[in-house]
Amino acid sequence: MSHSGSEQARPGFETWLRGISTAGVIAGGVMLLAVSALVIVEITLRKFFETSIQGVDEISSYAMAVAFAWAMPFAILDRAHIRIDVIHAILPERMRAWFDLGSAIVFCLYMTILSYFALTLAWASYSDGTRSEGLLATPLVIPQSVWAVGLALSVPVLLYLIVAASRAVFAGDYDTARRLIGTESFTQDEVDQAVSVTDDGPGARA
Amino acid sequence: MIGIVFLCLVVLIVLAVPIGVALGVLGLITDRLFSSVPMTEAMGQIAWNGSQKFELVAVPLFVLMGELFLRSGLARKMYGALDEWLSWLPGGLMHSNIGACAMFAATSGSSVATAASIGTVALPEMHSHKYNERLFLGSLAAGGTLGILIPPSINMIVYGVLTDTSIPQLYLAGFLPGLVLTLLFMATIVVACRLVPRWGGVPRRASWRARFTGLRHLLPPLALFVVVVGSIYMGFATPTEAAAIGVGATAIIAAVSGRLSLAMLREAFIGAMRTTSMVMFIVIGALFLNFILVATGGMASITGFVEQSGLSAGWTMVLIVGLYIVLGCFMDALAMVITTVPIITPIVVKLGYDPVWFGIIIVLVTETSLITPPIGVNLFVIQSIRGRGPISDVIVGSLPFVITMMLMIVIIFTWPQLALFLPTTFYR
Repeated sequence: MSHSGSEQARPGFETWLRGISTAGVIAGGVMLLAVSALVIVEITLRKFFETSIQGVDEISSYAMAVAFAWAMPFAILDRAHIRIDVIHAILPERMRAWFDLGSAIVFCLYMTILSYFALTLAWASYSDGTRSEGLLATPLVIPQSVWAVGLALSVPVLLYLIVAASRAVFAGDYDTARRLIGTESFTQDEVDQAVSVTDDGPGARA
Repeated sequence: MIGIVFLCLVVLIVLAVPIGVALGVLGLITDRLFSSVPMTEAMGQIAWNGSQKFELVAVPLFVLMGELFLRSGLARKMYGALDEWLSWLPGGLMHSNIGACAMFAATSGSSVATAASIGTVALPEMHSHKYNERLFLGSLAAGGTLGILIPPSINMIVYGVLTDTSIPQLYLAGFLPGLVLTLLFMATIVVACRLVPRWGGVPRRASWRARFTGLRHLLPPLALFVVVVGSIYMGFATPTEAAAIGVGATAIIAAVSGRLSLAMLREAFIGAMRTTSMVMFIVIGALFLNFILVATGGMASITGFVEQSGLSAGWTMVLIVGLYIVLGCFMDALAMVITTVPIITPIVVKLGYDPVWFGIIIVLVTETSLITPPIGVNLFVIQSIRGRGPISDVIVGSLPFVITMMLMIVIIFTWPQLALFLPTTFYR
């Protein structure tokens, strides 16, 4: 890979990563909405028709597990994970960038271990033919493998961030490093997001 | 070997690794150092059990519900309607701030959402009636914290799941304290405006006609509250199912008010899943560390240490609450609850306290942490909406309410029945 080529490919790759992870998040949201609908149908049936769709709670639980796991790559890219940055925040910019890098590496190692055990669990469920104890007797490998793959996707995302951010740190470009793996804006992002949506729509403020 | 664990903790904090990672890594290290049989392999199973707990499904659903309500544009109308009823009090609109927050809290499980929604509506009105700016800002930051005390409450769900405490009982227990704290906040404003009358702005009085025509704007939030909280106590829904009903009802309200669109849903989904994955990730780390601590006997030595410390139960509790208030100054509120509650609650229960009662205490210290500097998310939210001037205005303005919250904690200590009366009446 030539230098100029990778230089141009990077933002493109990042856009692609963000696109994929956003799709994962939205799929999770759709699943949540579907879960709500299903639960409402279930309650209505139970209350008024004294019948029931079997295993709604089980399906909802799997949906959440999967939605959570598939939202991880987005949450990582969006720096949604809360960090205690009391000490971190008072460090000089350069040191902070290095520590951010260290933090991302620890994060990546941890996700690798977690994904490994998650995948192992799914594999064990497959080879043992484990089924859920609920009414559905779901072969657990189905929800578990989808869930484990979602978690495992965090690893390449973190690897990308580590590579991109270390290039930036070595080049002394601390702004880019912060945009990729920094903490500074975690509260600010969250606040901006909460605030931006409360506008009552166009014209309402006039 | 304790030294090594402590050293790791220091490194993790200095690097500012995400909290979920810090908990998980501490679990891994503790296991390595103290287990005769390595238990790391249980990690997959623990993470799976945590990810698919049915009670926790309520968390993403409530976040989604909040995101939908936030975008439905109902907060403004609700605020206006409440103003008609409360404007005659000394401090005028500030009472609407508290009242609207309390009402929004009854449909929302999040304090940030509450502060953001009401803050956006209220702040443009601040100068119109010459209120004291700081107190006005403080009333919004503090009022927003009611979001997690008045049911439904995301923090209570997480507390209930992590400590095996009944969530419906926690909801019931939060109801009266929520009401009392709302009134105490209003009393704080009245007292402040009696002491310094010019803080209270220009007094106004609305006509009875305007008051009654405004009432219809209070119906949607009231209906949501009845649907979400009522369905639990009428016995046809679990808290998780109630949350699903809430999502459905909010979607209908948003559709009726003409705000439901694909773009809006997309934003709501992203907002909801972002928060959910952040919360769930910490929950998994906490469950894993907790498992390792119990298995290695670390938990027993922590509890034993507290028991042998020679402190009375009361003083231990004072110490714990003090610790939370200090911790809350520096840590995100919900993260603080998830991280500490699995370790602290067994100690408290062993001392002879009721876990439902302690849940309310935890919610109250969490509320305090939302408006204490340097890290108090509600302070940031209000300052960000205001968009000018120093943040110290918001901090100073919130101080009277911090004192009120401390008073509330003392009240719950002195009269535990205020929290426990409803759950005991209905469940025990």
